[in-house]
Amino acid sequence: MGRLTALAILLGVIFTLSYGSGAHIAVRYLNPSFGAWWNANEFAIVECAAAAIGMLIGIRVGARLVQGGALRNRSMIAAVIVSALALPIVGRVSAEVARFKFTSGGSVQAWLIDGFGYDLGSILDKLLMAGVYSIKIALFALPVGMILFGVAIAVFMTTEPAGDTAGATSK
Amino acid sequence: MFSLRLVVLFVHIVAVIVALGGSLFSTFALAPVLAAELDAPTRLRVARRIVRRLGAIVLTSLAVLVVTGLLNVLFIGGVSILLAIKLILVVLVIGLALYQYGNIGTQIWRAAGPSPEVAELQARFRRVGLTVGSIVLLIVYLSLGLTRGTGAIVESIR
Repeated sequence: MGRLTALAILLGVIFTLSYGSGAHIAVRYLNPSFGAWWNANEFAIVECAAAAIGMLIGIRVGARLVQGGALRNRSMIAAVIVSALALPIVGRVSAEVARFKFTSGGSVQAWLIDGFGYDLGSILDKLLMAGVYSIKIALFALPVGMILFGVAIAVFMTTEPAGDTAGATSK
Repeated sequence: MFSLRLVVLFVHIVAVIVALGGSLFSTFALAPVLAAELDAPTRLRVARRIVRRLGAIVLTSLAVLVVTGLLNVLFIGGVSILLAIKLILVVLVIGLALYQYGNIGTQIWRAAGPSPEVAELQARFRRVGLTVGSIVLLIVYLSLGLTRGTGAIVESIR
């Protein structure tokens, strides 16, 4: 679970930085066909990685709130599988919601260009925009991960024997 | 009349009613009657089954709420500070519900028999349930502010 989250974070950071800085040009320079693939898919990977990070963190937060043991482990595995299946849809919806404006962002852009000059300020603004977009997607996907874990807990709770009948059932 | 937006909103509201109504009924109607009418071992047996069934109902309702809530945001077409506060409260509610059913509920479910510890767990279960209910009511009030208040998000976007 930890490795999966780390992988999602790594992918998210790499592709967000790549999209924000236009790094596909460097990849194209090394391998034109791979660079073209990279450029065509990096935005979708940014969205999916951000949604995956949000859902995985949601599942981990949910698991921390639940009494340990086999019930929690089974629920985590089931929630991760369902999250993986739902990732394209959750990523798409979260990305759509994340695109809605919260502030205009004009003042930040002006401040960056004012502080770092037009060229560097524009690159930093695009990086910031991509970073904020990823964080927003992850934040919208987080409750989805938590509640997928909750549903898994609810499903597995119904199959667990009660305290006073557990011994008899296992025998 | 039968637009997708209306259907999603209807399902969203029904999910709130089911989640909140179930918790309130269990806390204010069922628990006092069980305490008055049944002996301790039978009461624990019944309470355990209720915890499990109610857990499945409430957590599934919350899942429906989250999914339809995200779709509602898509239909509204904007995010405001009020909506951000609402989303934070939703995460808090899900966390508390998971703690209530996945942690306290599981301990009640696994208890071998009636004891002071189990009674304490049941009291905590009710307290957390009441907190969840109160926050859900606050969320409902914020939702009214989002769609019908003076600073309604729909108006601010237009």
